[in-house]
Amino acid sequence: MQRRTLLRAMASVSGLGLTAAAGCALLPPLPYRRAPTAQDAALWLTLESDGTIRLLLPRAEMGQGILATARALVAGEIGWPLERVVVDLPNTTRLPPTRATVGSDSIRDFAPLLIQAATDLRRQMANQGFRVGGPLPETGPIAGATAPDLVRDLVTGRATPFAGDVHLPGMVHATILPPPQLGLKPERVQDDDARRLPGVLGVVRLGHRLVLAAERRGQLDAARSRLHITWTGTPIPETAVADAVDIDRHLGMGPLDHTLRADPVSGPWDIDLRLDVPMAAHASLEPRTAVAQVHDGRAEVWTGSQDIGFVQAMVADALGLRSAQVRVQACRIGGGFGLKTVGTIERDAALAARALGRPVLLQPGRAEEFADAFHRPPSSHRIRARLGADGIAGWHHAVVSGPVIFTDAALTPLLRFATSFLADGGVSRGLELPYRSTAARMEARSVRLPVVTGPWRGLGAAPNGWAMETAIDALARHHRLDPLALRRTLLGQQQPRLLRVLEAAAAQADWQAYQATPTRALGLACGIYKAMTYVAVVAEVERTGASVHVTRLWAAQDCGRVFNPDQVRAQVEGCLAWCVGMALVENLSIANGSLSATSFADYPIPRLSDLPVMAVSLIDSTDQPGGAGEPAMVAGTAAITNAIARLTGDTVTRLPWRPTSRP
Amino acid sequence: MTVRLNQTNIAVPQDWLEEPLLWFLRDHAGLRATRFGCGVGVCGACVVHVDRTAMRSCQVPVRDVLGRHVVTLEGLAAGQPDGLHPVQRAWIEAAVPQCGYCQSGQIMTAAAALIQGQPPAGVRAAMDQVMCRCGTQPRIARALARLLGEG
Repeated sequence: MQRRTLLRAMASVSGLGLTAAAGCALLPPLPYRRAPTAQDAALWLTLESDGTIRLLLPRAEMGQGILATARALVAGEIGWPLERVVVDLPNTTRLPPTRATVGSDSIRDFAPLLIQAATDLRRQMANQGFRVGGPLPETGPIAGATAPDLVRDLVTGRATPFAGDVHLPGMVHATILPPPQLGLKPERVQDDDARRLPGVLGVVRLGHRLVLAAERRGQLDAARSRLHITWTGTPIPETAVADAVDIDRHLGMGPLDHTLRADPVSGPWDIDLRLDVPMAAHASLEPRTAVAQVHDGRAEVWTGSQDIGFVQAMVADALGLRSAQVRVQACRIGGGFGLKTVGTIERDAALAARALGRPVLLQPGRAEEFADAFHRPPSSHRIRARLGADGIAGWHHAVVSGPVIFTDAALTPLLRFATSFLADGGVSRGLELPYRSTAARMEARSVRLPVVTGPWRGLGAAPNGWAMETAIDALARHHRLDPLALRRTLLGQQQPRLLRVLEAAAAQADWQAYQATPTRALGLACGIYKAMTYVAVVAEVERTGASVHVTRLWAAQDCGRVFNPDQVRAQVEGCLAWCVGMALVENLSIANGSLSATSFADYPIPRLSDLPVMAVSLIDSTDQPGGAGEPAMVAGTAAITNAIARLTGDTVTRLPWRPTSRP
Repeated sequence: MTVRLNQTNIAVPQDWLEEPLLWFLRDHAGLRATRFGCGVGVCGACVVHVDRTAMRSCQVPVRDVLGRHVVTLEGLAAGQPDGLHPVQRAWIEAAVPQCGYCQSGQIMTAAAALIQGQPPAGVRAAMDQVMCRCGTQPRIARALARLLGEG
């Protein structure tokens, strides 16, 4: 591309972004939240004349196996061969907007509707003379859900399902250029030196965001080193984020904004704990990736996104197009975990594609991804509790966190202001106490931070569950009670499903007979996720010198009716791996004004040797199906740190655990 | 100037010589099972075999593999009657993949360690250098145990 053309393109794009976009839409783009209906479900199945059933479910596939499970549900309900049910990834043209794939609700909210749609189709097919079978069994695993054919495609390389695998004629490669320190904005961008390199197209400026493009991916690294960019702004102080959420500072100013329960509570307390959780990255192996092309007033986008509807809205808004002029094709997601819910990268790709007049594949490098992605917010908790004759006599859990659902990544400044009066349900998720209590106060506050935070596997339920279950163990230690016995007493008959998984996990680990040693102990924890899934985890931890190692994990989960037990187990295993990371490794800190992580070398995630044998038992029932992708996040971390506390005698009050961390 | 790629010699254009092998495979040869994860040789998503040795293709310029034999996931099962290398078969039996993005690097790393006759500890040490965020490691461990004749 000629320099003149590029400058013109840049001029047409700079100053666009949100300011220009605000003029073309009355409302800023927002994620679509409505639950699916039977009418929606009628569009998910199409019968072709030769008896092939096409299944187009508006759910993202990110390894949770929803498409394989959905295919097996349809085949089973209709009594139709699995290979004659063809699954396609959704796009925005063929289906109306649907809620994002978040919150572990695909099976709970979509499977019953899909089964009903399959029942209707079976009737229709029978009328047309097809020899159908079905229906699905009431309990037990359904046939074909493990989908070895789909696994085979992945392990042989036959499948090229990710956004980065899309290849369009004339396509260029691009990355983003985040500021070298948080809080800076680009002032002057000189890319002449870089553009002298073969294939380098230069920098496209999108408001404060910069996209660097080249003919080939391999040319981007050399190009980046020849850019001269001046940045303005004030770097944030090292402690700004930790100070912003400091629970004691907030409690010193009075009650927090949002209360889940507001019984009057007062001391004396048996335990009074300050608990802190740092920021953490999603660290999906696939960085956020989008391919976009813009021509003749239309845009096409390919992306591994958890929310293609929101992507469509953001791209349309940025380009000044109507939604119908933007087609977003879902690709398989190379790890989502809550990060791939906002269309930032897709919007950048579309704007850059328009500016360059070429299709663009935008995939940040790893350092850029750490710097530009949003992260799990830090949270700071205080829990005070006292046991009484009749359960917990007093419980006070206060938490301050960065935003979760009302993430800065998705909101315009106006919406940030508007939502500041609302409770961020992501921050308070899992704050409810499942145990019998006569007086409890749970309160939460979300504070805007100088770094962008948002949903991360389990949302607030991961840190809140850790804090709560840490406190329950501390109570047990205070009263010299067995942690299992105390939980049993506190659960009583009020949470039969939680009690059942607790007993199941303890039995698997042989809790009662287990012989702890000075270097080896068990810990346990349990919890409820979104009032639909009940999970308990027992961890065995071994101490060698100053370090600890998780040597066994046992989990029991009740998520109602289980269609695909192997896949549910895989999801529990995934959560437990995240819990090992959360307990022992993950800490995204700020140093010299920027995030400490630039690669997996300085943001380690659990490896093969960090992860133990895991035994997962599922309680299958005929209850309404719940979710599986996140629930174990509420219990795994505390099970591990509770085991550490039993080894060291010190409650673990700060994540990740460090040999020096003492209350 | 050629490279032997999955049993076939292919020509290397002059202007690809200094490019990382990863992008040559993906964008020139159209073999997209080898994936970008970090670009600095830490995560292992881009592992391929060069003369039967595991290499991180994001760190290797194409120039360095001229005249050598590069095998990617697509070519791993060459000569196997059922189209599956034993590692791939073990991966299917253990239902390892979740999102699948890192699995090419996982499988190629395991296969190289086995091809070279590494002892179990060596195989596991190699696999410890390949990242997976979904948490498929317990199943990878199961598949490895089977491959190593331990299960």
